[in-house]
Amino acid sequence: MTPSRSGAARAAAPLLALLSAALWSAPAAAYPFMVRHGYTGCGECHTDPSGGGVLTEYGRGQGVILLSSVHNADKRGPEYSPGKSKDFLFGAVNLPDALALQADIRALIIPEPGKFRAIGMQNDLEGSLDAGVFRADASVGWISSGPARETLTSNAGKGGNLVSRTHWVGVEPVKNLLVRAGRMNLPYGIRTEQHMLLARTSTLTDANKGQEYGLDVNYEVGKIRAEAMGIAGDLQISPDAYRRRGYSALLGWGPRRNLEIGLSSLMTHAAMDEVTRVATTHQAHEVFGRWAPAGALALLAEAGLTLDQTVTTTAMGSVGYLQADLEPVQGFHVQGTGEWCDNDLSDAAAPTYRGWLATQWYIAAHVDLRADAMYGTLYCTPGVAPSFLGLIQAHAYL
Amino acid sequence: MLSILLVSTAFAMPQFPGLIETDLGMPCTPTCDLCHSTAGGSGVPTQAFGIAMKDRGLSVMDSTVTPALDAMGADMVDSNGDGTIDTEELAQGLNPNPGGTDYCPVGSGITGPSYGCLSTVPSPAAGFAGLAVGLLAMLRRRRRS
Repeated sequence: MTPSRSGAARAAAPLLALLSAALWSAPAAAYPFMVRHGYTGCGECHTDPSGGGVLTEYGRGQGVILLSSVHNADKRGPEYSPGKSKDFLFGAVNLPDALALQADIRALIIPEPGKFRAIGMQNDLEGSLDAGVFRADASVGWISSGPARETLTSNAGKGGNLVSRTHWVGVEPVKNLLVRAGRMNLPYGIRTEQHMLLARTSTLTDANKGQEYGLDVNYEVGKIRAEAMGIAGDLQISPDAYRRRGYSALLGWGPRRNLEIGLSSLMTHAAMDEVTRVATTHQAHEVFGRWAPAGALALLAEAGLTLDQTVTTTAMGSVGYLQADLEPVQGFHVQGTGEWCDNDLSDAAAPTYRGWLATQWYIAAHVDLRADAMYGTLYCTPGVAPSFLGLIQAHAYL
Repeated sequence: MLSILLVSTAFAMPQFPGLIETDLGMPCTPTCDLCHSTAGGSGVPTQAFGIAMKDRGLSVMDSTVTPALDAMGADMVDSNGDGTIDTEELAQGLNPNPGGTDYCPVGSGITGPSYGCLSTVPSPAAGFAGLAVGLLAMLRRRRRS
Protein backbone atom coordinates (compact mmCIF):
# COMPACT_ATOMS: atom_id res chain seq x y z
CA MET A 1 0.00 0.00 0.00
CA THR A 2 1.37 3.41 -0.92
CA PRO A 3 1.66 6.05 1.79
CA SER A 4 -1.16 8.09 0.26
CA ARG A 5 -3.46 5.11 0.06
CA SER A 6 -2.60 4.16 3.61
CA GLY A 7 -3.45 7.66 4.73
CA ALA A 8 -6.69 7.59 2.84
CA ALA A 9 -7.60 4.30 4.44
CA ARG A 10 -6.91 5.71 7.89
CA ALA A 11 -8.92 8.79 7.07
CA ALA A 12 -11.80 6.73 5.76
CA ALA A 13 -11.97 4.45 8.77
CA PRO A 14 -13.92 6.84 11.03
CA LEU A 15 -16.48 7.55 8.34
CA LEU A 16 -16.93 3.90 7.57
CA ALA A 17 -17.26 3.21 11.26
CA LEU A 18 -19.94 5.85 11.61
CA LEU A 19 -21.79 4.73 8.53
CA SER A 20 -21.60 1.12 9.55
CA ALA A 21 -22.84 1.84 13.02
CA ALA A 22 -25.69 3.89 11.68
CA LEU A 23 -26.68 1.04 9.43
CA TRP A 24 -26.30 -1.49 12.17
CA SER A 25 -27.95 0.27 15.05
CA ALA A 26 -30.26 -2.25 16.65
CA PRO A 27 -33.24 -0.73 18.40
CA ALA A 28 -34.68 -3.68 20.19
CA ALA A 29 -33.43 -6.86 21.73
CA ALA A 30 -35.42 -9.86 20.58
CA TYR A 31 -33.85 -13.27 20.96
CA PRO A 32 -35.62 -15.89 18.85
CA PHE A 33 -33.11 -18.53 19.96
CA MET A 34 -35.07 -18.63 23.23
CA VAL A 35 -37.02 -21.46 21.60
CA ARG A 36 -34.20 -23.49 23.15
CA HIS A 37 -35.81 -22.84 26.52
CA GLY A 38 -39.30 -23.70 25.33
CA TYR A 39 -40.43 -20.21 24.36
CA THR A 40 -42.22 -20.51 21.05
CA GLY A 41 -44.00 -17.22 21.68
CA CYS A 42 -42.67 -13.82 22.72
CA GLY A 43 -45.36 -12.30 24.90
CA GLU A 44 -44.19 -14.02 28.08
CA CYS A 45 -41.06 -11.88 28.17
CA HIS A 46 -41.99 -8.79 26.13
CA THR A 47 -44.86 -6.34 26.41
CA ASP A 48 -45.07 -6.48 22.62
CA PRO A 49 -46.66 -9.88 21.96
CA SER A 50 -44.42 -10.43 18.95
CA GLY A 51 -41.25 -9.59 20.82
CA GLY A 52 -38.68 -6.86 21.20
CA GLY A 53 -38.82 -3.70 23.27
CA VAL A 54 -39.85 -3.52 26.90
CA LEU A 55 -39.39 -6.63 29.00
CA THR A 56 -42.09 -7.82 31.35
CA GLU A 57 -41.08 -8.50 34.95
CA TYR A 58 -40.97 -12.19 34.05
CA GLY A 59 -38.85 -11.40 31.01
CA ARG A 60 -36.44 -9.38 33.13
CA GLY A 61 -36.08 -12.36 35.43
CA GLN A 62 -35.41 -14.76 32.57
CA GLY A 63 -32.95 -12.25 31.14
CA VAL A 64 -30.88 -12.70 34.26
CA ILE A 65 -31.46 -16.39 34.94
CA LEU A 66 -31.34 -17.85 31.44
CA LEU A 67 -29.30 -15.38 29.40
CA SER A 68 -26.35 -14.27 31.46
CA SER A 69 -23.19 -16.19 32.24
CA VAL A 70 -23.09 -14.96 35.80
CA HIS A 71 -26.44 -16.34 36.89
CA ASN A 72 -26.59 -20.05 36.21
CA ALA A 73 -30.05 -21.37 36.93
CA ASP A 74 -28.89 -25.00 36.97
CA LYS A 75 -26.36 -24.37 39.72
CA ARG A 76 -28.57 -22.08 41.77
CA GLY A 77 -31.58 -24.38 41.71
CA PRO A 78 -35.21 -23.88 40.75
CA GLU A 79 -36.01 -21.70 43.76
CA TYR A 80 -33.45 -19.06 42.83
CA SER A 81 -34.78 -15.57 42.28
CA PRO A 82 -32.66 -12.77 40.81
CA GLY A 83 -34.32 -10.26 43.14
CA LYS A 84 -33.82 -6.61 42.39
CA SER A 85 -30.87 -7.26 40.09
CA LYS A 86 -33.35 -7.83 37.31
CA ASP A 87 -35.33 -4.64 37.86
CA PHE A 88 -35.35 -1.23 36.22
CA LEU A 89 -32.29 0.67 37.47
CA PHE A 90 -31.51 -2.45 39.53
CA GLY A 91 -34.46 -1.69 41.76
CA ALA A 92 -33.34 1.83 42.71
CA VAL A 93 -36.79 3.09 41.73
CA ASN A 94 -39.93 1.29 42.81
CA LEU A 95 -42.32 1.20 39.90
CA PRO A 96 -46.04 0.56 40.16
CA ASP A 97 -46.95 -2.98 39.16
CA ALA A 98 -48.76 -1.66 36.10
CA LEU A 99 -45.73 0.21 34.78
CA ALA A 100 -42.62 -1.21 33.12
CA LEU A 101 -39.73 1.03 32.14
CA GLN A 102 -36.59 0.19 30.25
CA ALA A 103 -33.65 2.33 29.25
CA ASP A 104 -31.30 1.41 26.43
CA ILE A 105 -28.00 3.22 26.19
CA ARG A 106 -25.91 2.92 23.08
CA ALA A 107 -22.69 4.62 22.10
CA LEU A 108 -20.30 4.40 19.22
CA ILE A 109 -16.58 4.48 19.77
CA ILE A 110 -14.59 5.38 16.69
CA PRO A 111 -10.91 4.51 16.76
CA GLU A 112 -8.83 7.46 15.60
CA PRO A 113 -5.09 7.92 15.64
CA GLY A 114 -4.11 8.14 19.29
CA LYS A 115 -7.63 8.32 20.67
CA PHE A 116 -11.17 6.99 20.62
CA ARG A 117 -14.10 9.18 19.72
CA ALA A 118 -17.48 8.46 21.29
CA ILE A 119 -20.74 9.16 19.50
CA GLY A 120 -24.18 8.61 20.97
CA MET A 121 -26.04 6.08 18.86
CA GLN A 122 -29.07 5.28 20.92
CA ASN A 123 -30.40 6.69 24.15
CA ASP A 124 -33.89 5.34 24.51
CA LEU A 125 -36.40 5.16 27.28
CA GLU A 126 -39.38 2.90 26.72
CA GLY A 127 -42.37 2.52 28.94
CA SER A 128 -45.27 0.12 29.01
CA LEU A 129 -48.51 0.40 30.96
CA ASP A 130 -50.67 -2.61 31.75
CA ALA A 131 -53.78 -1.36 33.56
CA GLY A 132 -56.49 -3.99 33.50
CA VAL A 133 -57.76 -4.37 29.98
CA PHE A 134 -55.92 -1.26 28.85
CA ARG A 135 -52.38 -1.34 27.56
CA ALA A 136 -50.04 1.33 26.28
CA ASP A 137 -46.44 1.41 25.15
CA ALA A 138 -44.14 4.17 23.95
CA SER A 139 -40.47 4.73 23.30
CA VAL A 140 -38.58 7.99 23.06
CA GLY A 141 -34.93 8.61 22.51
CA TRP A 142 -32.34 10.58 20.65
CA ILE A 143 -29.92 9.82 17.85
CA SER A 144 -27.08 11.95 16.59
CA SER A 145 -27.86 11.48 12.91
CA GLY A 146 -30.22 13.31 10.60
CA PRO A 147 -33.94 12.76 10.12
CA ALA A 148 -35.11 9.29 9.10
CA ARG A 149 -38.20 7.12 9.28
CA GLU A 150 -37.89 6.62 13.02
CA THR A 151 -37.37 10.28 13.97
CA LEU A 152 -39.99 12.56 15.46
CA THR A 153 -38.04 15.67 14.55
CA SER A 154 -36.38 16.82 11.37
CA ASN A 155 -33.04 18.36 12.23
CA ALA A 156 -31.03 18.12 9.04
CA GLY A 157 -27.93 19.71 10.51
CA LYS A 158 -26.18 19.18 13.82
CA GLY A 159 -28.15 18.51 16.98
CA GLY A 160 -29.52 15.09 16.20
CA ASN A 161 -33.14 14.07 16.38
CA LEU A 162 -35.73 12.74 18.77
CA VAL A 163 -36.72 9.18 17.96
CA SER A 164 -39.81 7.14 18.63
CA ARG A 165 -40.04 3.80 16.89
CA THR A 166 -43.11 2.54 18.67
CA HIS A 167 -46.03 4.12 20.50
CA TRP A 168 -49.36 2.41 20.78
CA VAL A 169 -52.44 1.96 22.93
CA GLY A 170 -54.40 -1.26 23.20
CA VAL A 171 -57.11 -3.21 24.88
CA GLU A 172 -57.17 -6.85 25.94
CA PRO A 173 -60.91 -7.58 26.14
CA VAL A 174 -60.31 -11.28 26.74
CA LYS A 175 -57.20 -13.12 27.80
CA ASN A 176 -54.61 -13.48 25.04
CA LEU A 177 -56.46 -11.21 22.63
CA LEU A 178 -54.78 -7.85 22.25
CA VAL A 179 -56.01 -5.12 19.93
CA ARG A 180 -53.59 -2.24 19.41
CA ALA A 181 -53.48 1.02 17.49
CA GLY A 182 -50.41 3.14 16.93
CA ARG A 183 -46.90 2.79 15.56
CA MET A 184 -45.70 -0.79 15.79
CA ASN A 185 -43.32 -3.36 14.40
CA LEU A 186 -44.86 -5.31 11.56
CA PRO A 187 -45.93 -8.87 12.34
CA TYR A 188 -43.80 -10.71 9.81
CA GLY A 189 -41.26 -13.48 10.09
CA ILE A 190 -38.88 -13.93 12.98
CA ARG A 191 -38.31 -10.77 14.99
CA THR A 192 -34.66 -10.42 15.82
CA GLU A 193 -32.17 -7.77 16.80
CA GLN A 194 -30.30 -8.65 13.59
CA HIS A 195 -32.32 -6.14 11.62
CA MET A 196 -29.80 -6.13 8.78
CA LEU A 197 -30.75 -9.68 7.79
CA LEU A 198 -31.60 -9.60 4.09
CA ALA A 199 -34.91 -11.23 4.96
CA ARG A 200 -35.72 -8.13 7.03
CA THR A 201 -34.43 -5.34 4.80
CA SER A 202 -35.82 -6.85 1.58
CA THR A 203 -39.29 -7.23 3.04
CA LEU A 204 -39.22 -3.82 4.79
CA THR A 205 -39.88 -5.48 8.14
CA ASP A 206 -36.73 -4.70 10.07
CA ALA A 207 -37.01 -3.59 13.68
CA ASN A 208 -34.92 -0.48 13.08
CA LYS A 209 -36.91 1.38 10.45
CA GLY A 210 -39.78 -0.94 9.54
CA GLN A 211 -42.45 0.30 11.95
CA GLU A 212 -45.78 1.57 10.63
CA TYR A 213 -48.94 3.08 12.05
CA GLY A 214 -51.96 0.84 12.00
CA LEU A 215 -54.41 -1.39 13.79
CA ASP A 216 -53.09 -4.70 15.05
CA VAL A 217 -54.83 -7.76 16.43
CA ASN A 218 -52.86 -10.45 18.24
CA TYR A 219 -54.33 -13.71 19.47
CA GLU A 220 -52.62 -16.64 21.11
CA VAL A 221 -54.40 -19.84 21.97
CA GLY A 222 -52.76 -23.16 22.77
CA LYS A 223 -50.10 -23.89 20.20
CA ILE A 224 -51.20 -21.13 17.85
CA ARG A 225 -50.22 -17.48 17.74
CA ALA A 226 -51.68 -15.22 15.13
CA GLU A 227 -51.23 -11.53 14.45
CA ALA A 228 -52.55 -9.29 11.70
CA MET A 229 -52.00 -5.59 11.19
CA GLY A 230 -53.78 -3.18 8.90
CA ILE A 231 -51.13 -0.66 7.87
CA ALA A 232 -52.36 2.93 7.72
CA GLY A 233 -49.02 4.41 6.69
CA ASP A 234 -46.17 6.01 8.59
CA LEU A 235 -47.27 9.42 9.82
CA GLN A 236 -43.63 10.29 10.49
CA ILE A 237 -43.10 10.52 6.72
CA SER A 238 -44.62 13.19 4.54
CA PRO A 239 -46.10 13.93 2.10
CA ASP A 240 -48.77 11.27 2.18
CA ALA A 241 -47.73 9.83 -1.18
CA TYR A 242 -44.75 8.14 0.48
CA ARG A 243 -46.84 6.29 3.06
CA ARG A 244 -47.25 2.57 2.52
CA ARG A 245 -50.66 1.09 3.19
CA GLY A 246 -51.76 -2.52 3.27
CA TYR A 247 -51.48 -5.43 5.67
CA SER A 248 -48.94 -7.64 7.39
CA ALA A 249 -49.73 -10.89 9.16
CA LEU A 250 -48.23 -14.01 10.60
CA LEU A 251 -49.47 -17.35 11.83
CA GLY A 252 -47.26 -19.49 14.05
CA TRP A 253 -47.78 -23.03 15.25
CA GLY A 254 -45.72 -24.57 18.03
CA PRO A 255 -46.48 -28.30 18.03
CA ARG A 256 -43.70 -28.89 20.55
CA ARG A 257 -41.95 -26.73 23.12
CA ASN A 258 -38.81 -26.70 21.00
CA LEU A 259 -40.40 -26.04 17.63
CA GLU A 260 -42.40 -23.32 15.93
CA ILE A 261 -43.23 -23.10 12.26
CA GLY A 262 -45.26 -20.42 10.60
CA LEU A 263 -46.36 -18.37 7.65
CA SER A 264 -46.06 -14.64 7.04
CA SER A 265 -47.66 -12.44 4.43
CA LEU A 266 -47.35 -8.75 3.64
CA MET A 267 -48.69 -6.43 0.96
CA THR A 268 -48.35 -2.66 0.82
CA HIS A 269 -48.81 0.07 -1.74
CA ALA A 270 -47.33 3.55 -1.85
CA ALA A 271 -48.15 6.18 -4.43
CA MET A 272 -44.47 7.05 -4.38
CA ASP A 273 -41.70 4.73 -3.23
CA GLU A 274 -39.14 6.41 -0.98
CA VAL A 275 -36.23 5.27 -3.14
CA THR A 276 -37.52 4.94 -6.68
CA ARG A 277 -40.16 7.73 -6.53
CA VAL A 278 -42.71 5.72 -8.49
CA ALA A 279 -45.93 4.06 -7.37
CA THR A 280 -45.02 0.63 -6.05
CA THR A 281 -46.89 -2.36 -4.70
CA HIS A 282 -44.69 -4.50 -2.50
CA GLN A 283 -45.50 -8.07 -1.51
CA ALA A 284 -43.66 -10.64 0.58
CA HIS A 285 -44.78 -14.11 1.58
CA GLU A 286 -42.75 -16.68 3.45
CA VAL A 287 -42.44 -19.65 5.73
CA PHE A 288 -40.38 -19.50 8.90
CA GLY A 289 -39.30 -21.91 11.57
CA ARG A 290 -37.49 -22.09 14.90
CA TRP A 291 -36.27 -25.42 16.22
CA ALA A 292 -34.07 -26.50 19.10
CA PRO A 293 -32.98 -30.05 18.18
CA ALA A 294 -30.58 -30.26 21.09
CA GLY A 295 -30.15 -28.38 24.34
CA ALA A 296 -27.37 -26.11 23.17
CA LEU A 297 -28.46 -25.62 19.59
CA ALA A 298 -31.23 -23.53 18.03
CA LEU A 299 -31.95 -23.38 14.31
CA LEU A 300 -33.81 -20.48 12.71
CA ALA A 301 -34.89 -20.25 9.10
CA GLU A 302 -36.98 -18.09 6.81
CA ALA A 303 -37.62 -18.51 3.09
CA GLY A 304 -39.96 -16.57 0.90
CA LEU A 305 -40.81 -14.68 -2.24
CA THR A 306 -41.03 -10.95 -2.84
CA LEU A 307 -42.93 -9.15 -5.56
CA ASP A 308 -42.44 -5.49 -6.45
CA GLN A 309 -44.74 -4.02 -9.06
CA THR A 310 -44.84 -0.61 -10.68
CA VAL A 311 -46.85 0.57 -13.65
CA THR A 312 -44.09 -0.57 -15.99
CA THR A 313 -42.20 -3.28 -14.11
CA THR A 314 -42.79 -6.49 -12.20
CA ALA A 315 -39.97 -8.13 -10.29
CA MET A 316 -40.35 -11.37 -8.37
CA GLY A 317 -37.53 -12.19 -6.00
CA SER A 318 -36.62 -14.59 -3.26
CA VAL A 319 -34.95 -14.17 0.11
CA GLY A 320 -34.10 -16.33 3.07
CA TYR A 321 -31.56 -17.61 5.54
CA LEU A 322 -30.61 -20.48 7.77
CA GLN A 323 -29.11 -19.65 11.12
CA ALA A 324 -27.58 -21.91 13.75
CA ASP A 325 -27.15 -20.58 17.28
CA LEU A 326 -24.96 -22.68 19.55
CA GLU A 327 -24.67 -21.94 23.28
CA PRO A 328 -21.85 -24.22 24.51
CA VAL A 329 -21.91 -22.64 27.97
CA GLN A 330 -24.68 -20.51 29.41
CA GLY A 331 -24.47 -16.96 28.16
CA PHE A 332 -21.96 -17.54 25.36
CA HIS A 333 -23.33 -17.96 21.86
CA VAL A 334 -21.72 -18.80 18.53
CA GLN A 335 -23.96 -18.00 15.61
CA GLY A 336 -23.56 -18.82 11.94
CA THR A 337 -25.94 -17.54 9.25
CA GLY A 338 -26.12 -18.22 5.53
CA GLU A 339 -28.33 -15.83 3.55
CA TRP A 340 -29.45 -15.38 0.00
CA CYS A 341 -31.46 -12.77 -1.82
CA ASP A 342 -32.47 -12.09 -5.41
CA ASN A 343 -34.75 -9.12 -6.04
CA ASP A 344 -35.49 -10.13 -9.64
CA LEU A 345 -35.40 -13.81 -10.50
CA SER A 346 -35.84 -13.06 -14.21
CA ASP A 347 -32.73 -10.97 -14.72
CA ALA A 348 -29.23 -12.22 -15.37
CA ALA A 349 -27.64 -10.94 -12.16
CA ALA A 350 -26.54 -13.65 -9.77
CA PRO A 351 -28.29 -13.71 -6.39
CA THR A 352 -26.69 -12.08 -3.39
CA TYR A 353 -25.17 -14.62 -1.01
CA ARG A 354 -23.92 -13.62 2.40
CA GLY A 355 -22.16 -15.39 5.24
CA TRP A 356 -22.44 -14.05 8.76
CA LEU A 357 -20.55 -15.33 11.80
CA ALA A 358 -21.14 -13.90 15.25
CA THR A 359 -20.36 -14.52 18.88
CA GLN A 360 -22.44 -13.05 21.64
CA TRP A 361 -21.60 -13.11 25.31
CA TYR A 362 -24.17 -12.15 27.91
CA ILE A 363 -21.44 -11.17 30.25
CA ALA A 364 -23.63 -10.04 33.14
CA ALA A 365 -27.17 -9.12 33.96
CA HIS A 366 -28.30 -6.39 31.53
CA VAL A 367 -25.07 -6.42 29.52
CA ASP A 368 -23.89 -8.37 26.50
CA LEU A 369 -20.97 -8.20 24.11
CA ARG A 370 -21.12 -9.22 20.48
CA ALA A 371 -18.70 -9.61 17.59
CA ASP A 372 -19.90 -9.94 13.99
CA ALA A 373 -18.04 -10.82 10.83
CA MET A 374 -19.88 -10.69 7.53
CA TYR A 375 -18.89 -11.36 3.95
CA GLY A 376 -21.32 -10.11 1.34
CA THR A 377 -23.22 -6.91 0.65
CA LEU A 378 -25.18 -4.89 3.17
CA TYR A 379 -28.39 -4.96 1.14
CA CYS A 380 -29.96 -7.18 -1.51
CA THR A 381 -27.93 -5.89 -4.44
CA PRO A 382 -27.27 -8.75 -6.89
CA GLY A 383 -24.26 -8.07 -9.06
CA VAL A 384 -22.48 -5.88 -6.51
CA ALA A 385 -19.14 -7.29 -5.37
CA PRO A 386 -19.15 -8.68 -1.83
CA SER A 387 -17.01 -7.15 0.86
CA PHE A 388 -16.01 -7.92 4.43
CA LEU A 389 -17.52 -6.16 7.41
CA GLY A 390 -16.71 -6.65 11.04
CA LEU A 391 -18.16 -5.20 14.22
CA ILE A 392 -17.68 -5.48 17.94
CA GLN A 393 -20.73 -4.52 19.94
CA ALA A 394 -21.76 -4.21 23.54
CA HIS A 395 -25.31 -3.72 24.74
CA ALA A 396 -26.67 -2.62 28.07
CA TYR A 397 -30.17 -1.99 29.32
CA LEU A 398 -31.46 -0.76 32.63
CA MET B 1 -24.53 -0.45 22.56
CA LEU B 2 -20.90 0.13 21.90
CA SER B 3 -19.73 -0.55 18.39
CA ILE B 4 -16.26 -0.53 16.95
CA LEU B 5 -15.73 -1.13 13.27
CA LEU B 6 -12.97 -3.53 12.50
CA VAL B 7 -12.84 -3.80 8.74
CA SER B 8 -14.98 -2.59 5.92
CA THR B 9 -14.74 -1.80 2.25
CA ALA B 10 -16.54 0.67 0.05
CA PHE B 11 -20.23 0.47 -0.75
CA ALA B 12 -22.96 2.88 -1.74
CA MET B 13 -23.10 6.04 0.33
CA PRO B 14 -26.73 6.42 1.36
CA GLN B 15 -26.07 9.76 3.06
CA PHE B 16 -24.75 11.48 -0.08
CA PRO B 17 -28.13 12.31 -1.67
CA GLY B 18 -29.17 14.15 1.51
CA LEU B 19 -25.90 16.04 1.62
CA ILE B 20 -26.28 17.12 -2.02
CA GLU B 21 -29.87 18.19 -1.35
CA THR B 22 -28.81 20.33 1.60
CA ASP B 23 -25.72 21.73 -0.07
CA LEU B 24 -27.49 22.86 -3.23
CA GLY B 25 -30.85 23.72 -1.65
CA MET B 26 -32.71 21.18 -3.74
CA PRO B 27 -36.49 20.95 -3.32
CA CYS B 28 -36.15 17.21 -2.64
CA THR B 29 -33.57 14.50 -2.14
CA PRO B 30 -32.23 13.06 -5.41
CA THR B 31 -32.35 9.31 -5.85
CA CYS B 32 -29.26 7.13 -6.14
CA ASP B 33 -29.43 7.17 -9.94
CA LEU B 34 -27.92 10.64 -9.84
CA CYS B 35 -24.61 8.79 -9.64
CA HIS B 36 -25.45 5.09 -10.00
CA SER B 37 -27.19 3.08 -12.69
CA THR B 38 -30.44 2.54 -10.75
CA ALA B 39 -32.60 4.50 -8.31
CA GLY B 40 -31.62 2.19 -5.49
CA GLY B 41 -28.17 1.62 -6.89
CA SER B 42 -24.78 1.09 -5.43
CA GLY B 43 -21.24 0.36 -6.50
CA VAL B 44 -19.02 2.50 -8.69
CA PRO B 45 -20.69 5.65 -10.11
CA THR B 46 -21.79 5.08 -13.69
CA GLN B 47 -23.76 8.24 -14.46
CA ALA B 48 -22.05 11.27 -16.02
CA PHE B 49 -22.69 13.41 -12.93
CA GLY B 50 -21.28 10.77 -10.58
CA ILE B 51 -18.21 10.24 -12.72
CA ALA B 52 -17.60 13.98 -12.89
CA MET B 53 -17.94 14.25 -9.10
CA LYS B 54 -15.51 11.41 -8.62
CA ASP B 55 -13.07 13.11 -10.98
CA ARG B 56 -13.28 16.17 -8.71
CA GLY B 57 -12.34 14.39 -5.54
CA LEU B 58 -15.52 12.71 -4.34
CA SER B 59 -14.64 9.72 -2.17
CA VAL B 60 -16.38 7.76 0.59
CA MET B 61 -15.86 10.72 2.93
CA ASP B 62 -18.78 13.05 3.63
CA SER B 63 -16.34 15.94 3.66
CA THR B 64 -15.55 15.47 -0.04
CA VAL B 65 -19.12 16.18 -1.20
CA THR B 66 -19.10 19.97 -0.84
CA PRO B 67 -15.64 20.52 -2.40
CA ALA B 68 -16.61 18.28 -5.33
CA LEU B 69 -19.84 20.22 -5.85
CA ASP B 70 -17.93 23.50 -5.62
CA ALA B 71 -15.51 22.21 -8.25
CA MET B 72 -18.41 21.13 -10.45
CA GLY B 73 -19.78 24.66 -10.28
CA ALA B 74 -16.41 26.30 -10.84
CA ASP B 75 -15.74 24.07 -13.85
CA MET B 76 -19.28 24.74 -15.12
CA VAL B 77 -19.84 21.04 -15.74
CA ASP B 78 -22.89 20.44 -17.93
CA SER B 79 -23.28 16.68 -18.15
CA ASN B 80 -26.27 16.64 -20.46
CA GLY B 81 -25.16 19.61 -22.56
CA ASP B 82 -28.44 21.46 -22.27
CA GLY B 83 -26.80 24.78 -21.48
CA THR B 84 -27.53 24.71 -17.74
CA ILE B 85 -24.73 23.57 -15.48
CA ASP B 86 -25.29 20.50 -13.30
CA THR B 87 -25.34 22.25 -9.92
CA GLU B 88 -27.92 24.75 -11.16
CA GLU B 89 -30.09 21.98 -12.60
CA LEU B 90 -30.02 20.13 -9.29
CA ALA B 91 -30.94 23.32 -7.41
CA GLN B 92 -34.02 23.45 -9.62
CA GLY B 93 -34.85 19.81 -8.92
CA LEU B 94 -33.80 18.69 -12.39
CA ASN B 95 -31.67 15.72 -13.40
CA PRO B 96 -28.33 16.82 -14.88
CA ASN B 97 -27.61 13.45 -16.50
CA PRO B 98 -28.28 12.81 -20.19
CA GLY B 99 -31.80 11.44 -20.54
CA GLY B 100 -32.35 11.42 -16.81
CA THR B 101 -35.81 11.82 -15.29
CA ASP B 102 -36.16 15.06 -13.33
CA TYR B 103 -36.49 14.70 -9.59
CA CYS B 104 -38.76 17.50 -8.40
CA PRO B 105 -38.83 20.48 -10.75
CA VAL B 106 -39.48 23.76 -8.94
CA GLY B 107 -43.17 24.59 -9.23
CA SER B 108 -44.17 21.00 -10.05
CA GLY B 109 -45.47 20.35 -6.56
CA ILE B 110 -43.34 17.22 -6.31
CA THR B 111 -41.44 17.02 -3.05
CA GLY B 112 -39.22 14.36 -1.62
CA PRO B 113 -40.01 12.49 1.56
CA SER B 114 -39.48 14.44 4.75
CA TYR B 115 -39.27 12.84 8.14
CA GLY B 116 -40.45 13.80 11.58
CA CYS B 117 -43.86 15.06 12.59
CA LEU B 118 -42.55 17.65 15.05
CA SER B 119 -40.49 20.76 14.49
CA THR B 120 -36.75 20.71 14.81
CA VAL B 121 -35.15 20.65 18.23
CA PRO B 122 -32.12 22.76 19.14
CA SER B 123 -30.50 19.96 21.12
CA PRO B 124 -31.37 16.76 22.91
CA ALA B 125 -30.41 18.34 26.24
CA ALA B 126 -33.89 19.63 26.97
CA GLY B 127 -35.52 16.27 26.43
CA PHE B 128 -33.07 14.37 28.55
CA ALA B 129 -33.09 17.03 31.25
CA GLY B 130 -36.81 16.41 31.49
CA LEU B 131 -36.24 12.70 31.71
CA ALA B 132 -33.67 13.12 34.48
CA VAL B 133 -36.00 15.38 36.45
CA GLY B 134 -38.76 12.81 36.15
CA LEU B 135 -36.58 9.99 37.38
CA LEU B 136 -35.29 12.06 40.29
CA ALA B 137 -38.84 12.93 41.24
CA MET B 138 -39.76 9.24 41.26
CA LEU B 139 -36.73 8.44 43.39
CA ARG B 140 -37.60 11.22 45.83
CA ARG B 141 -41.17 9.96 46.10
CA ARG B 142 -39.92 6.47 46.83
CA ARG B 143 -37.62 7.69 49.61
CA ARG B 144 -40.44 9.68 51.20
CA SER B 145 -42.68 6.64 51.18
